[in-house]
Amino acid sequence: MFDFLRRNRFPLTLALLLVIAGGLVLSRSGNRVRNDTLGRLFLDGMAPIMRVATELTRTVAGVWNGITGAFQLRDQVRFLRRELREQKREVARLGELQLENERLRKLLSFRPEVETEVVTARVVGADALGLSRSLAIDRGTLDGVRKGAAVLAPEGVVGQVLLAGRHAARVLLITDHNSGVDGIVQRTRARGIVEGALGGGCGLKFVKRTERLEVGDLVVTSGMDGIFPKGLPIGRIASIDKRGQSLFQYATVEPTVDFGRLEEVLVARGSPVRLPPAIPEQ
Amino acid sequence: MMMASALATAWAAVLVLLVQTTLLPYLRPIVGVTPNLVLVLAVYVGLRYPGALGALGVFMLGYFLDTFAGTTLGFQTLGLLLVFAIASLASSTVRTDSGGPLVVVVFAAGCFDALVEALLFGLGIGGTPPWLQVLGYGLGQAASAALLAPFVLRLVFWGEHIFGAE
Repeated sequence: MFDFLRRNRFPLTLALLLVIAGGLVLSRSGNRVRNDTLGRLFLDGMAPIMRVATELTRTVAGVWNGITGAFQLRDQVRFLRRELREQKREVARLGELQLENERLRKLLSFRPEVETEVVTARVVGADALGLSRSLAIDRGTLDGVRKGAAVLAPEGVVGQVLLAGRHAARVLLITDHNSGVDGIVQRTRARGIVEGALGGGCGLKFVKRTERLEVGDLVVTSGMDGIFPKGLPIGRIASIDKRGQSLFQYATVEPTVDFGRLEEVLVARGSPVRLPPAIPEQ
Repeated sequence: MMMASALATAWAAVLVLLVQTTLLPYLRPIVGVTPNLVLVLAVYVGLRYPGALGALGVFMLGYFLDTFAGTTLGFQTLGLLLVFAIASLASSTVRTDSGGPLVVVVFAAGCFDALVEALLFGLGIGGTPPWLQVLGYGLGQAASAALLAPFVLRLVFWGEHIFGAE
């Protein structure tokens, strides 16, 4: 017996690992939150490195913008080129600071609208393979971030905490195909589910065919899913599809949040559903 | 010598995981796809270390990747283990000391991985996006990973130089 195990160590190990991996896939499929210890350890271990890498990337982008700006001005102010380069570097640095300042101010002014306790987090990474839509943030359970918590931005809903480590967390964006947010069309109060699409946008499903939707209608959270506060903007309807004989119609939704430019977010800490903030129709 | 060589691969794995989780995600908006360097490493480990230790290493690589990519735990782990299993079957015929053959094997392995992912998505495991889109994205990822395979091999050689396994 022992000899058999020793001789077939490789195929047996491989088979066992395949069974474990397959078991994990089958048991965890469809879960929108995770709580595996090893994953939390990996996330915590990588958090400081990701933070540094993100800072480096932003610095390089800032310097790159400065250099590009200097080249554009070269023909017009040739005699000031040298000084301009130095100024540009400084301007790029200050510009980054100013933009950050504006974003943080916006976040601060947004806080009172969300009637739940929130923590501000920095975005430090994106999905490692790109097929899913997720972000890494630099706040974890030690800061009060819990799995399943709502993640917001001043422009609207960002997503939900998928995995929370002690110092970092991963956020599943509303544009991910596994994501689902209970939403209502602000103008008509028609209810539906906003799901992510593989292309990066969202779709509004299960809206009754009799409801009159229009392109440009704002879709907001209904608050019925118990995760997101009611009335937060999700996106605007970009197109409507009533083809087929289904009872429901489908609409593509352009998210109000620009996920490519997201640098800071708010994570809800307390009870998720509170009083609805007033969101004026723009 | 074998120990130093395994250390060199582990060293390359750490670097690949760092690059995969910090720098490569920023490529997606530019080139439309995030290359999967971990897949290259899984193929390399399969060709070079077709044994129980190699399988364990690839399992850990997959689990790590599952932490930073996708939503379903085990999804990448399963795909990488299958790729490793096939690569280990081909280990007696494919040489790993030059980039050329590795590029071809990585592309083939990437296509296989894309098929596995599309199949899992098609079965409704791991979400419900159109499986054809998943397949298309996976093939793009396979091509980009194949192009970057020599870079991963360089990292391993660098590690071998550091740990004295040359």
